[in-house]
Amino acid sequence: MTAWKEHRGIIIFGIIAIIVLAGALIAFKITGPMGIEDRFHAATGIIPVEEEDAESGIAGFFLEGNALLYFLILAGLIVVCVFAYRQFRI
Amino acid sequence: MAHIHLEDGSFSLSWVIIWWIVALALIGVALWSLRSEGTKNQKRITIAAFVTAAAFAVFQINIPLFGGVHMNLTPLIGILVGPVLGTLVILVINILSAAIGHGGWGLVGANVLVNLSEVIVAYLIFRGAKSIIPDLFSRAGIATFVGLFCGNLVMVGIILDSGIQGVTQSTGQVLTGLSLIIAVNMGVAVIEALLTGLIVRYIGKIRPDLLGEAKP
Repeated sequence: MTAWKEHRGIIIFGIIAIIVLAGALIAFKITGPMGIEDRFHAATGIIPVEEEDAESGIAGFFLEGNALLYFLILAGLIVVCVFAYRQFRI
Repeated sequence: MAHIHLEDGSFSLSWVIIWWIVALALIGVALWSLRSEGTKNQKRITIAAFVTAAAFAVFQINIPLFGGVHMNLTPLIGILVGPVLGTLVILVINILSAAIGHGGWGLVGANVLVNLSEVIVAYLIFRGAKSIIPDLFSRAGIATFVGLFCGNLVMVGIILDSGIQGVTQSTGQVLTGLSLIIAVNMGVAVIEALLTGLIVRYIGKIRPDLLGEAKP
């Protein structure tokens, strides 16, 4: 009983996290991979207007939708944060 | 997270005006409340400026999870600055987002209401559950989950009430599609809850006064 009282916050948090993750995975299985706008278009029945391909991105690389670049940048940011934390104790 | 990603013209003009009027009324109440408080909240205004910048940046980052989603940080806004300043923060973020093509201009009113519900609910849960869940990390995390879920419900309510112009989907079909969006959004809420919990726990450790918590 004491353990429940001490840890009830994290237990409730964990249960919610598991439930919503399971729900999200089921929804993802049903819909498949889609961007945010595509998801809304599919849900509401809007037919998206095709846009002409525009030149964008960082030095010719497209960050949006590129998981590898995204994780590389994320890893770089984590390294910078760890360095800043250790160096300056912020 | 909960944000109506539809173009201008999706809602009829009358609904666009209705959501703008409701949002402006709430913004007016927030401004009146701030004015009546005077200069008591100067520290919170500084924090509000920081969370506005952080949340705007986070809004624009597309996380390649479930096909692409973004976080809001709205529950963190509610926890750190409360619903009054949070209303103004939300307005600024939505206007700047619309300015760069993230959501239609006409939908700013509706999106302010969606995000404001997240701010208010997260704030209330975080403050109200203090005696039940003293641990900052889990309390902030749970407040984030509940806040974001309510934001999604408000989003669906607004879309169903307004109706989408020029589509043949029935209300049931739209509701089914939007329910799937809620489920996917809530998957991302796990990341947002973890992030918010860690930020709040860190702030609680170094500056508990910013959270309205007593110093240990």
